[in-house]
Amino acid sequence: MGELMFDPGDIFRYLLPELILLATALLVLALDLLVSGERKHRCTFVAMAGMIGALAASIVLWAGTSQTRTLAILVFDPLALMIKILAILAILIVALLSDDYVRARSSAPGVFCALLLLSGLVVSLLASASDLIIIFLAFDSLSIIAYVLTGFLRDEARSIEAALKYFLYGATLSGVMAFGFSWIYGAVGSTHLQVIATFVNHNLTHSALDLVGAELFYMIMPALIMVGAGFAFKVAAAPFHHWAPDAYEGAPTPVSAFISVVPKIAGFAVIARFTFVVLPFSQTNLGEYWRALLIVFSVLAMIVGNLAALWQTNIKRLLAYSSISQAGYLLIGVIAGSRRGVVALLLYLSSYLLTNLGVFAGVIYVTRRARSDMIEEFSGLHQRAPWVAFCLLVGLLSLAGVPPTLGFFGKFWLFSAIIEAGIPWLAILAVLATVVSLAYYWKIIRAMYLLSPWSQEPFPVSAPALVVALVLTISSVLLGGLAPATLLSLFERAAGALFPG
Amino acid sequence: MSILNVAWLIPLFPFLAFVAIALYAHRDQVLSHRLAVGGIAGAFLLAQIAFWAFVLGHHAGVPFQASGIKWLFLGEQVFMLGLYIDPATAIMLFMVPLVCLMIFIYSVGYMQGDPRYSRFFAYISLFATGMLGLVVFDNLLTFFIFWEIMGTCSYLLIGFWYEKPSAFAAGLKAFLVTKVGDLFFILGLVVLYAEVGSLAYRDLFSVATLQHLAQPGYLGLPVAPATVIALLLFGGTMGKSAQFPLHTWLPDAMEGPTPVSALIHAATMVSAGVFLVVRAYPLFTAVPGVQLPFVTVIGAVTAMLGALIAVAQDDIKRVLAFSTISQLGYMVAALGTGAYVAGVFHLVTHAFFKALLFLSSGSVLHGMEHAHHHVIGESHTAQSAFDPNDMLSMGGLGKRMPRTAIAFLVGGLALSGFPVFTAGFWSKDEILAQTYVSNPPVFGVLAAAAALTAFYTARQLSLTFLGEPRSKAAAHAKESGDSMTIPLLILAGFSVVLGWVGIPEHFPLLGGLIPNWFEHFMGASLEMGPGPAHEAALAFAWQPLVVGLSVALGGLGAGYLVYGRRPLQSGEPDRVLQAFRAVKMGWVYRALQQRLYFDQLYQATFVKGSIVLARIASWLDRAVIDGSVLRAASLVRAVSGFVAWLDRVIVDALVDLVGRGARVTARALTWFDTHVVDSVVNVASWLGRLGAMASGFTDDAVLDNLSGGVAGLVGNLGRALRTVQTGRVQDYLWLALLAILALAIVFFIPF
Repeated sequence: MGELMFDPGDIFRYLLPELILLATALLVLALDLLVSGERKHRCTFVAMAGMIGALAASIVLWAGTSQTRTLAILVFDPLALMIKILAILAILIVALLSDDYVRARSSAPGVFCALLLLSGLVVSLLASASDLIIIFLAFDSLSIIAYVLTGFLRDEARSIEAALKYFLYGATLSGVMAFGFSWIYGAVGSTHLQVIATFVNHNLTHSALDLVGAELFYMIMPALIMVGAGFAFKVAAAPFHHWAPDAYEGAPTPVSAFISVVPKIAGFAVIARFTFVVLPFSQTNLGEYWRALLIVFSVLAMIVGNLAALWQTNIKRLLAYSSISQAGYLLIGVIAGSRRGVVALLLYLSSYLLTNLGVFAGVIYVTRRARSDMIEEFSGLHQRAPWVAFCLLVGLLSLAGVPPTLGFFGKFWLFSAIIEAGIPWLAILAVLATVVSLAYYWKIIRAMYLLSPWSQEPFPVSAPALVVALVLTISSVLLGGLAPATLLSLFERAAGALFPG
Repeated sequence: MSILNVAWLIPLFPFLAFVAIALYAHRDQVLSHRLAVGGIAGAFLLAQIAFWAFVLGHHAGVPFQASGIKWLFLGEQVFMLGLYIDPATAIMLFMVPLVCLMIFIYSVGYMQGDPRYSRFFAYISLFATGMLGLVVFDNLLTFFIFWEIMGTCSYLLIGFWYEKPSAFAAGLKAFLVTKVGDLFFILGLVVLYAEVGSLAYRDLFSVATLQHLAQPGYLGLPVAPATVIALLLFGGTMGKSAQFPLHTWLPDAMEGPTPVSALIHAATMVSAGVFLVVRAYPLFTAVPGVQLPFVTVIGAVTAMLGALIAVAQDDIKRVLAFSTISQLGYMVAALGTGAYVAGVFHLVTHAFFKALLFLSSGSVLHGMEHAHHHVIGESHTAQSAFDPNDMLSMGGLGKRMPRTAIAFLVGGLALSGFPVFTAGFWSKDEILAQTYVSNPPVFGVLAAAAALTAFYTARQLSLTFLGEPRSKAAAHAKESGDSMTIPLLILAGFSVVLGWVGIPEHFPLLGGLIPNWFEHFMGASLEMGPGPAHEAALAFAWQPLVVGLSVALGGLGAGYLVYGRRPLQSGEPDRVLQAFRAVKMGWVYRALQQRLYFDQLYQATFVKGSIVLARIASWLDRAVIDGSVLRAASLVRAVSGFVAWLDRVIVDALVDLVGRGARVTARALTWFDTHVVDSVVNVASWLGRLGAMASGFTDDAVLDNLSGGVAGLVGNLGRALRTVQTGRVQDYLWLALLAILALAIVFFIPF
């Protein structure tokens, strides 16, 4: 690993996306205070400009980075920068699809945008984090932003209740995770991932499991379970998913979109780095146990998410369970433990990001007038807003993994990676789960195309930003599905950071 | 395994009672007092076992030590927690739980009907824990910890009726004034630890350590570390045992419920201070220096001062408070002059008769208060200014409260050292005899104080119990219930009998009838110890005995002549005040009545001084710090004005630009929508409808009929999973914790 010293100019250069996000967030907050009335909503444009700037900076950095660079507790490699690109893209889309909604219901759009910007900042830090302390701090900051956003509509009891549930659950699991970290620190004496990795590989390999090793083993095993529980909460994997349906249902819909995507990006960035730096599978006993733990989470998430989704009548709860099951699929990319697995993880992550945000954009489009989140609202959508129905159709098919969408390629790569890794039964289980998932996605498609509408009134097109978000995401899903090779080459390069050669 | 190991459990019992009451029983008054009394009774039984085991075993002055528990890890150092039982500990183990038990039983009756009944028992249980823990463990660190537990409890209990501002203030005062002493105590511990590297008694009192501490030249000064340490530790004693000039908190401590006063004044708090000197006595005697003379002077001054002030107090409990201060001065002076055994002896006898006196006075107050409510109930007039503690409004209670009167009489006689029969006589006589030899001036002071003690005791007895009632309340007072009077009689018994274990062997007539057990028992520890060899029992001298007898009897007689023979009439001013007025010196009496203005002095200097300092700090904060903050704020306001201008002029332009861009994009999209997407959508929807028709079969078979076969199983599983989602975040958290637990179990089974 080529570690180079940093000079101050480099620090500025490598942290440029984060600095842009931070500066924009502060600027937007100040503007929100200083500007009043209608003009407040222009904060959103400033925020988006900042996000585009940060996105551009990340892309430029990504293009120019081929080596791993370490700055104390932050790592800058192609993987980290790719995660940053995805995360900033995600918050940009969330900002687009929330613009109309927030404008209609809240008097503080600047605060909303600033929180989005800050969440981009902390996810960027998490992408680079290589120390337990910054992982914990950034993770918790992200969670706090998510709690606040969930309770953003302070006058709606539902929103507050959801935020409180999310907060209580999250605070407990964060505590559990921090406790696990403290055990690791107690055993190793350092919080740096590299140091922990060296320690684990020296003391806890297959061959050298002597008395001291066994004692340490007993310390680190429970720690890993606690850390795993914390990670599983962040990505909403079963059995630590209970918060998700309630939080999705009660949160403002754009926020549901946000918490379905952004914490997952952050969580998988951290899980991947933690796993492949600290506990490479099949090198140590511990690595194998960690993999077994991840398999448990993955299997449970796929089963629980897909089965529970079948009976949902509320579109947001349905998407909540869907996102739980997606966490299960995503975990497969980590479990594979190979370069191909990481590529598949990134591919599926980007597909999930675009698809889920697109579907949520469609849901916001439909429900913002209906004021109800039931699936009946989608009845006959095809007749009232045919192209929105079409976008939703593509999105749902992509979520279910039907070709020729990006979701199909994501699943294809995941399954091939896990078969290559020698765990075919997991692939079979995942395919079966996918079949079940078709049933509930089909429920929405059926309502849109086969049932008759409850009203003939066409939807007014008065939300340009929302439309932009919908079109942008769904067209990307289609384009990506038609030409996945470009994306794959990008992700190959990113995965090279963890699996060189 | 020695049976003495039961001592581990002694402090545990009241502590368990405290925990049980605080956490569990606090809603049930009867259960609360049963737990508290049960806890102290358990401690009492174990303490008796330990005491007799120690006395009967052939320990002869060798301390019993059991060191078992690794307690605190400080870097390389390990603090061991263990037991240390020497004769002094054993005597305390005999006295403390016994007196506490009596006080607890008494409290059951006394506190009846108090709204915070259970809390009271929780506090006093913790208090007893503090004292017992302080006694049994083997190092000064635990000593200090339990000492502080007691300090906290004293604050809570003295301010127990915190609705009364005076009670609240008294609690605070007790806490703060004793803290001044504690500061010295902990400094002493720090110096001791720095010098010795341990706080365990076995290390501290070893010959090598004491020799090391006796080397002069501490910090380049011509004093030995032992002197410095002893003086600092004695600071703790001055606070806790209310020695001049830190005595002011004790009279105010009367604001607490009377059993608390008894607890503080007899068995626990103030004894702890003297016990500290007893415990650390080898440090005090390790090297000749200023420490012992200092202790002696403070003790003698306190003894005299307390006795003087007590003469002029009208509050029945305040008289007792000052008498406690004065008696503590006796003990301290005795220890200072080397009368170690006599000091401890007086500590024990005093604990019994002072507890007796307080509980008796509590019984009197109980009777007065109830009678007062009774009277008010009859006449329907509020007598707000009524003070049940005022002896001037008592009188004639001897007939109405006979048991209490007898108990009070026994206690009073013991306090004044009534010859032969009372325990107080023997212990006080011993102190006088020893100081007569070692330090004649102190002997003079103590003898004068003894005369005053007898005088004010006679005054108190006369004012309270003789003559005619001087208020309606006194006329209607009734005797208290059995749970209050029986402990009184038991304590009265001990106040008499206990003196007989320490009769000097050369005493005329009585000497040698009963062996002087106490002297042998306590003296053994001095002979074994590294300190100066214990002097053989003093040859008998007539002079101190005669002086002692005459001051006790003379004081009592004079008091009776002034107050008892012709009892005070209602509304008549105090006789001593009349006498002083007659010689135009009423101010002397007023000064005594005002406790020689110590409180006013402290108020004017320390309290006011603190307030002035606080004002200065507050002014600095406002004028300097806030001022700069305000200036910074106006700067920020200016900047924000600039930014607002920037917003109007530049940002708006930017935003307009972006908005226009978005509008153009939207327009382009609309065009795209109408011209391109629509046709695509039409194709797609057609495709979709085709697909829909094709899958109509799936639709009917799978979705609408989730009931049969594999689909049914899947559907039912889903429904079962949904029921877990109750919507209650508590349930979710339980599920999460269960999941973690299950994972832990599953992943540990392979091992």
